Amino acid sequence: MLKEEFRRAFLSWAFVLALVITSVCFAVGLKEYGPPFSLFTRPEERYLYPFTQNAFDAFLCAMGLMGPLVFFAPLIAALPFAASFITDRSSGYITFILSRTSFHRYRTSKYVANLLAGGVSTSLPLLVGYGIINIFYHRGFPPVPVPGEAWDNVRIPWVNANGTFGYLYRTKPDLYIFFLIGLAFLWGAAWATAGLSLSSVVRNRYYALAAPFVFYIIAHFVTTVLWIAGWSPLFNFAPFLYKRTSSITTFAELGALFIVSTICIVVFAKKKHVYE
Amino acid sequence: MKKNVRSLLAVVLICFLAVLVTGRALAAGTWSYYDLTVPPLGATMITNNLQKVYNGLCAVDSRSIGADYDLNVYLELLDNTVVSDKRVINDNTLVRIDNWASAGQTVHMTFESGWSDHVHIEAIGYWSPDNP
Repeated sequence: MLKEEFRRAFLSWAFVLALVITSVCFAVGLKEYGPPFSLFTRPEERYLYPFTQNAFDAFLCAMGLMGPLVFFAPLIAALPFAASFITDRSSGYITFILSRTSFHRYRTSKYVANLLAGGVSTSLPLLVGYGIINIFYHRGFPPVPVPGEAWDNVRIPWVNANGTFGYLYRTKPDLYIFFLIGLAFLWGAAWATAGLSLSSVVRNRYYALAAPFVFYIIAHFVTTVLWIAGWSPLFNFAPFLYKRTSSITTFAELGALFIVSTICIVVFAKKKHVYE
Repeated sequence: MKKNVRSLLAVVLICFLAVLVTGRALAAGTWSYYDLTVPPLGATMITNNLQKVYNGLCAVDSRSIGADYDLNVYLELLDNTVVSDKRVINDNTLVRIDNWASAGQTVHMTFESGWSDHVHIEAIGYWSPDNP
């Protein structure tokens, strides 16, 4: 059953579309950052600033500082499989599958497949993108100036990145970026679970796909207006976008969303409710 | 007579020093104050226009960016042609930025909020079209 749900989640046009949207958003941010050498530095001066354009800054700009990925992330996470309770019912697939297995196994398999599909759709293109960036961009940072002196031709003049684990940015940049990719996976998994929990209570497929996105934007807007933007789900997808994010805001919020969504699935996704 | 000569020499010396100090300041470029409010969602706001004296680096000395946000900053010509890369700036950030603008061209600094910033952000500091 699990194998069958995996096949349906990962070998689907919706999953491919989610990967394409993530890749396009990442590419838009990377384009905004620019090519491996600065177009605005005179060619004869490029040797003075070898790390103006570097792989680590390029990744941060592509992921959030200059691209739209942070906006569409919950939509991408929900797209592959979050509405599948509804599509299974409307296509009649659920009748077929429940004649062969128990509802409990069916629900558990769907829960796991959806969780992984959501996580992979938000994180795999980032991993591949980082690999590609490392081929073309210099791996290194411009020097940190002494206090009071200027940052010469530095795109992101940070000693530490903003927010959660930002102190790793300069000392262990690869580890920091793998943390961001891992966080994108956990984040995608949690929001895909939220989408699945909604698909067990609503009857319209498009509502189930759009609801996490709408909630996400409203939550971001409300936390920003109330001056508690450190708790914004958007800033906790890409914590380097805001100073006040921390491991507490990032993991507490993600954990709460995941646990509440899982409880909703257990409580609301009953055979009678999903089947009828 | 001797006193008059001494006074004249003193005046000449003071004028010479004044010219030297002012000249050096002008040659290096001067700082211009800005206090802007940048609209949300990737919108931009520009500083006053100034004429570049020399080719090469321009500078931003950001003293404060409101509400713990970051802003992108870049140099533009009078007709809004972008002539530098975007830089991310924050509170107390002094950056020098390479650019394609030439001496004699009129430029301004453009401040841009992020796609994810939903509030108006105030930016205060100094900028220069040259490298003071």
